[in-house]
Amino acid sequence: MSVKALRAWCGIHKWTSLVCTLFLLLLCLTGLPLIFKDEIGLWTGTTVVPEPMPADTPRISIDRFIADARTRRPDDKIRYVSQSDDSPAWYVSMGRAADTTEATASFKYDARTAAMINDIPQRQGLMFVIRTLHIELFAGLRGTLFIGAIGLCFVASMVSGIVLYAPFARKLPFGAIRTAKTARLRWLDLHNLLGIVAAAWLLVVGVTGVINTLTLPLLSLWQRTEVADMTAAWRGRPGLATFSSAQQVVDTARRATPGMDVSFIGFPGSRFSTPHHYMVFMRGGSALTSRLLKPVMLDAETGALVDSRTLPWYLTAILLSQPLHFGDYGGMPLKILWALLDLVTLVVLGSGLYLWLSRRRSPIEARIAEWEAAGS
Amino acid sequence: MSSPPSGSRAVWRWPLVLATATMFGLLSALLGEGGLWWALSWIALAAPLLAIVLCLARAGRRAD
Repeated sequence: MSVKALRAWCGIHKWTSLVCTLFLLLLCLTGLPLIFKDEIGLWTGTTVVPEPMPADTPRISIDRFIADARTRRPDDKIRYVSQSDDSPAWYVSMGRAADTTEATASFKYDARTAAMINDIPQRQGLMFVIRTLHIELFAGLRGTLFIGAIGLCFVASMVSGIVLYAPFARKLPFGAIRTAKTARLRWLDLHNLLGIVAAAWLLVVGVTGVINTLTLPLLSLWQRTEVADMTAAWRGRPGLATFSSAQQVVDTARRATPGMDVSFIGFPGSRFSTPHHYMVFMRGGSALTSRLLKPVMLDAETGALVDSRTLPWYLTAILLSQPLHFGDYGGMPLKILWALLDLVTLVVLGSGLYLWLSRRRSPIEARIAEWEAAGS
Repeated sequence: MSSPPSGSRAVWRWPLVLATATMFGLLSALLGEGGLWWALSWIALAAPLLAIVLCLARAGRRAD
């Protein structure tokens, strides 16, 4: 690599890193407890699981608890009803309007008795603060998109860091830490070692994080294109006051998609449906297909099947990038590995910041000469 | 700043091995059906962490 190219890559690495480092420290610190959010929920009692019953206990009609949720909050609208994937339970999410992004209440129901087992606290608690900081910095969609831009900076910083790895590590055995030299060289070697060893994981978590920030815009793109196309015949009709039975709709959707089960039901008027339709999102049974969703559209007036299409590639990309960002798809050992790699990232960020603070006034040529001399 | 081809290949050997292990670990738990694929995923993703521990231990021994 020529000195000119090296200088350019150093510049890219320095500036992209400087832009993202402080935000990334925040994302790593808030991401750490989020890896274990299920365990923390059980431990603090904010998560309630249904009582054990024989596995073949029949499930009750979902209309029962949907009616119960409406009585509890008569002024609110149901946004969506989702099925737990690890216990016989359903969640009913309500808002001031069906199409709001903000829930006013989320009730958890036992799927066999329709008993309300948890009125999940909304917008409060430490985990809410941590989650909101991580996802949107308390700035709504703008905050999320800002974090996406920070994520792009991070990806550029990783790519330039990988390019710079070769010229600075070439003369040393792999993973050597020059402990006998200056503190600065020790931290440089540590930064290079941790950064290159975790590079693949860092890039995957970075890129999937950026993809996740595009969820809301891509959801509305799908609404404006494919959903609008599927429901062209209903355009301009007045909204419905009452809807057909949700249980009946679910039964019809299950018949239309053999081998699949309900992930969640977008209620009429929500961001996942239209004012005249239920959208039932079905998930498959295998490790991979349980992450992918197939929407089934049903008339909210008659309950009749309207259409069922596969999701567009960009929403499938979001669904697949979720597990790869969260690390929640391989049991507790995978979560622990995720946490350890998160800690490695914190050291990469901290050492990078130290390297910049300790030598930011020295010209690049002096540094290159120093590293060359120390490495030879 | 030019380097001989053999030198540049050697510098990428371990990073490439560890990146391959990481990608295998990330995908095997996602695409494979539980059990064995999960265990393989844990082992593969532990590889980069093990590499860090070994390199730090070696540096610690050198410093003594």
